[in-house]
Amino acid sequence: MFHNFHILSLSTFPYLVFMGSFGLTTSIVVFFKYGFWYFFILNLLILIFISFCWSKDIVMEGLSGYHNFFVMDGFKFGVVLFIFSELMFFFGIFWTFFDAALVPVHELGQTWSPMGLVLVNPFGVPLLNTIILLSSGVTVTWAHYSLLSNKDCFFSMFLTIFLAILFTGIQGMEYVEASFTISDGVFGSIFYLATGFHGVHVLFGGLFLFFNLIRLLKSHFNYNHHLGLEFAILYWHFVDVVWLFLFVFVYWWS
Amino acid sequence: MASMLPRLVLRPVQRTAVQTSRNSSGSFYGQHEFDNFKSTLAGGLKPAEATTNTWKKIFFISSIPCLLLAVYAAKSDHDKHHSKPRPEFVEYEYLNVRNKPFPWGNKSLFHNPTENYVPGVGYEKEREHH
Repeated sequence: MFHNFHILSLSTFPYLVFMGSFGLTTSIVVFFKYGFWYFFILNLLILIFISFCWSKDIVMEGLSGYHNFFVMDGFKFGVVLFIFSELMFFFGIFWTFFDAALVPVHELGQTWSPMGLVLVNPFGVPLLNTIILLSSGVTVTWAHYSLLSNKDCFFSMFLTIFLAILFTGIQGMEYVEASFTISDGVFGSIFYLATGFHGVHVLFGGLFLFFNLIRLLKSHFNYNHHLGLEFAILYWHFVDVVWLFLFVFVYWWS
Repeated sequence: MASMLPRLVLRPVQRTAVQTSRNSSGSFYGQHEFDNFKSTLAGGLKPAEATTNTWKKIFFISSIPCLLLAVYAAKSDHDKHHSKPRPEFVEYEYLNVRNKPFPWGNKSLFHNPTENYVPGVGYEKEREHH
């Protein structure tokens, strides 16, 4: 009988992703215990390859016409759930930060930030990074609306990705130039955990946008149907919001 | 004859804002979308173009100057910090914690020889002065 659902063909990719993730966590433990990192790199490459294969399948299904509006709504709901799970992940990290910072422990000198740590001036490089991320939000909105008005959006997407690379590079330089490390007490630990995971998310978001640019150049999108790009933009806005929280509480308030 | 040409500018249909999205995706293509196929398909193009130009102006007129100001602020902050000597290092017990050695040795992943203090050795390199 007629229905609007897209019945997928059988595929092993979900199972392979499961095996890959299991191997990833195990190989990280092996690395921490024995210093042997080759399994980790191998596993990472395998997972990247599988995700390329699976994404290719989804793209081809979309181009074959299986993605009617009903299916598109399902995708949107799924991505909202995914971003919510990422939000919960950062929520936990921020909980740790506030738990450590609001009532500083006696050993740290009962002040936050702990004594002996020379913090980064928030109105130097971190402010630059904030402006970079906000500008990339502007360019990505520009890109989305120009696609919605059936115009070419290559330049705005290129600017967005360029700003993303700029942010990642500057954060890397900041990591090298910082005077404190991850082993410097609870502040160092939570600082590098929060900014490190955020940096990985920026990297992922930038790559997602880059692959959408490639799809754009291959004319996969039209002004009505460009879900991949919409998801990348939503993810990018999420990353931007997390950075704003990081900047205000971890950099400025500390 | 001219009146038989299709109107090129569509006014929004019974809504406060023109959208290209549907009333519902439900189980079938909705009646409203069927009746108003052209406006749901093409009705959002002109407003989207106006918004595109708005965001483009925001980028070039306000984003780029803000970026340049922030670059100047970061540069002057960096120079200010490097013009002063390094602060005296006080060996608090919660700094440079090593409950378990790093898998790759004693130094942290982003170890900076001129900025990070190694316990027992001190700063490994002096800062270069420009």
